[in-house]
Amino acid sequence: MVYEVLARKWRPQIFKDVIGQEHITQTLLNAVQTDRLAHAYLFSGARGVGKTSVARILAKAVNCQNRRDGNPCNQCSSCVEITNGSSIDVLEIDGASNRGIDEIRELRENIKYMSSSGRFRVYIIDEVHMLTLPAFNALLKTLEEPPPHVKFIFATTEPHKVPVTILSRCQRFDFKRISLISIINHLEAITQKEGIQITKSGLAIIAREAEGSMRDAESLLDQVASFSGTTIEDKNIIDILGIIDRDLLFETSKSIIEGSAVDCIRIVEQIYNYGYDIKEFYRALMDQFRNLMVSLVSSPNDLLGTTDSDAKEIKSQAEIAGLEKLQQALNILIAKEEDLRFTSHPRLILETIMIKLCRIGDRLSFDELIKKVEDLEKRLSMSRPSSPDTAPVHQISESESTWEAEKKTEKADEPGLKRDHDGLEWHDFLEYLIKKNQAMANVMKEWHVKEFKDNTLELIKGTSSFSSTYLDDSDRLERLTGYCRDFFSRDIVIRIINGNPNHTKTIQSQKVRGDINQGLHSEIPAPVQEVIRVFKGKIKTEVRLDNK
Amino acid sequence: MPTDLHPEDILKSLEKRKLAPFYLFYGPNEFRLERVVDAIRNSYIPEGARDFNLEIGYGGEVDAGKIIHQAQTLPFMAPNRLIIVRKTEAYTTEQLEEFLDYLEDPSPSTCLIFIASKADFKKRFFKKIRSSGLSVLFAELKENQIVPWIMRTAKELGMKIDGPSCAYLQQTVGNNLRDLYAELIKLQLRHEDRKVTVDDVKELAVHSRVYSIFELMDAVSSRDIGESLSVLNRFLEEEDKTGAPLRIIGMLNRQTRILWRVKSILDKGGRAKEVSEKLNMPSFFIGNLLNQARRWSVDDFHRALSLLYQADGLLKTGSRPKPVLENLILTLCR
Repeated sequence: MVYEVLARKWRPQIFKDVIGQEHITQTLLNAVQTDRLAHAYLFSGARGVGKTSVARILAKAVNCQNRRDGNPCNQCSSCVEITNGSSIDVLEIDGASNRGIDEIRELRENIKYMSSSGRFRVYIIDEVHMLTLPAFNALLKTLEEPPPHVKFIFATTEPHKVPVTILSRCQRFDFKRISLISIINHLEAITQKEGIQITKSGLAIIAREAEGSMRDAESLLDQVASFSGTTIEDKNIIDILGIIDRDLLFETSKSIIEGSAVDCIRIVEQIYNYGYDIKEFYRALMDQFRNLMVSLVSSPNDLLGTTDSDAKEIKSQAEIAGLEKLQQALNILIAKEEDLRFTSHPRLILETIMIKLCRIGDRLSFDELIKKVEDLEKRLSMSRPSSPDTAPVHQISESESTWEAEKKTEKADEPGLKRDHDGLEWHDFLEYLIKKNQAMANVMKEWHVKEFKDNTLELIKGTSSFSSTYLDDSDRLERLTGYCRDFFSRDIVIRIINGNPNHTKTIQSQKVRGDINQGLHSEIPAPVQEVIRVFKGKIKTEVRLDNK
Repeated sequence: MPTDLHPEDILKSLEKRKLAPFYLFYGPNEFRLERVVDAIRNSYIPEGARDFNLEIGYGGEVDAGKIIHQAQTLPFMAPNRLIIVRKTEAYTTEQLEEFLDYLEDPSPSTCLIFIASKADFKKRFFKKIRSSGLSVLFAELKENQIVPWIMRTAKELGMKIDGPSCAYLQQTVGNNLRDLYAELIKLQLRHEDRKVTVDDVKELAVHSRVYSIFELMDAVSSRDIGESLSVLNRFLEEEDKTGAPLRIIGMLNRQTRILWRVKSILDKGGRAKEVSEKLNMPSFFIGNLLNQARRWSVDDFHRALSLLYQADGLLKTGSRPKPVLENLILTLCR
């Protein structure tokens, strides 16, 4: 027996079998039952949504000899002939290849003959928008004065290309795209009857690829089934249809959200080695970020078009990232799509974009920057006194007062316990460390001692991201303990405490004072000290701006 | 100055079976015109005699001489002949002049109907018919007559439909009576005796796109991201893929500019009535527009237009429409 593709085998034969177009089939059914048929119909809609199928069912229904509730019986000679395409009363014309005025003239010549066996002669013109303008005009005359025994059914994917004069003489029906759920359910029914084993998530992948077209969905299922037989794994579907693996996408979005450039580069490598199309992957990545974002702004899943388990994962990733970051990422992805399209080095571009995406968190968005500037302007305009002359004086005295506050805190800290009982200081240890291990010493300079009592050394982490995690490595911690033992000549237990900004500040300023030479004025404000420290300068003359 | 006849006058004459030997039917209300022509065809000539006594010709295709000849032929097996000339405007002035002699002395048993979408009364042919008092104007209904027309027609068809559904139908389908009639027939077939609601109209009516843009704009104005995205997606799903994104941008653009104009009128102290007059829009749109416009600031409009411009550029340089549009809507909402 000749194999019949699923799309043909499962082509609907009665109105009820047409999926997702109930509003149309019910109306037509009523029209057939009450015998109130229009003389011309126009079916518009995307490919594979059922236009031609409904046209054939309608043609059969109007000519069927033993109609059941408006549906064709599919058994009488008329129905069988129409199904076979051998009926002389129902003519299916392909508008794309019979588009000239001559074909339409011929049609008009033949139209006056009565139907041979059925009640009506039915002309089904597919892709009617392809007809030429003169052909349309010739057709228009027939539509204006239609013989009572003739019905026209036009089908088109592009109704806007059909002249208005034709449109307004037809009863129009807009076919909708078929929803994901309907496609999945229909495919499930087919696989059950055909004895194909496939998971629901597998069907969902196929349905998503079909983009609302049942014929596409059935063809894809056919394709997959002919490759892997009666048992179909999700993995097969992904391979055959060349779809990007969802797990890989989740991994990518996770790496980007976490800002791990290393992982991103590794993933690009992986994609490259698998032989995925990089542009295809980029598109999938855009969709991924789109889904992440949509999951945050709207609660129902119907916008996502994913399975439940995916939806959960998406939601959890999205919550970690936050809307602001996701939108920035999507903005970058959209703006950079063009770069990828015109490049001859897609991999390089993809890597660059991925790294850029990883670093979103480091930078403020343009909107945020503008907001900050605006805030600053507002604050400045509020704190500025009425006379501009006094402004600098006021500012200096302000900084002086903070400097005084700093001094006070410093004094409170001064009798602190940074000195062990032998009189050896942390400061001295650092000098020793420079000789032993320059790298570690540089990092430890950013660290501070909170307390050093007996055998316990409490250290406060440095503030920069690198130095704060420096001792997370147990090797390094061991080495530091070793140096401590050598220097203080006893076993030291090191405890690490997270940084406290206030504390850090006071110690830093103390350190500054230790570095610069002793002859400095102790009343120098902190910014000036900073300048002296950075440029290793000295104060030669001092000019006071205030009039005191 | 002779005036035009009203379509009702013709129907009355038809009832009395006293049609004049010739008429000119003209005007943009094609639907009404065809209905009157149908009525004449169906009752003026008995069904069995139509093959011999009914002729239909097209202007520019059939010679004037031939039509005159047909008109002068006596009826066969019926008291009258009916000749319909469609597209009269397609005849040249010279060809039209050929009819003038016949119009001076028409055959009393024939009814000759000229149908034209436009009539140029500077031409002697049209002037002659008008001065004989036999030109019939099929005028377009005014905007505010459409909804009552829908309700009246629905009643004639024996349908139950409420006011809001009629208004919705007008918004989605437009003012073309023929299209409206086709939609009503469809609704009647679908729902038979049941009462038709707005949702039913939404389900079945073709080109519901105009209304979707209002919905989208409404959702965007109230900064409802979820609703905006879902309207957008529904819109993209139901439309054909190729043209829809640019159309959305175009319509959003138009709607934004309308809102801006509404806003500026409001800011100058204008009221709903003024908005309606200046924008030349029917009053039932205005309430919604006012609500939307109040939620926007002038800066928002600047921002929205520049975002639309950007998105337009992206779409036209081949970016994928869905992410671009979704991102646009999202940014507009925030």
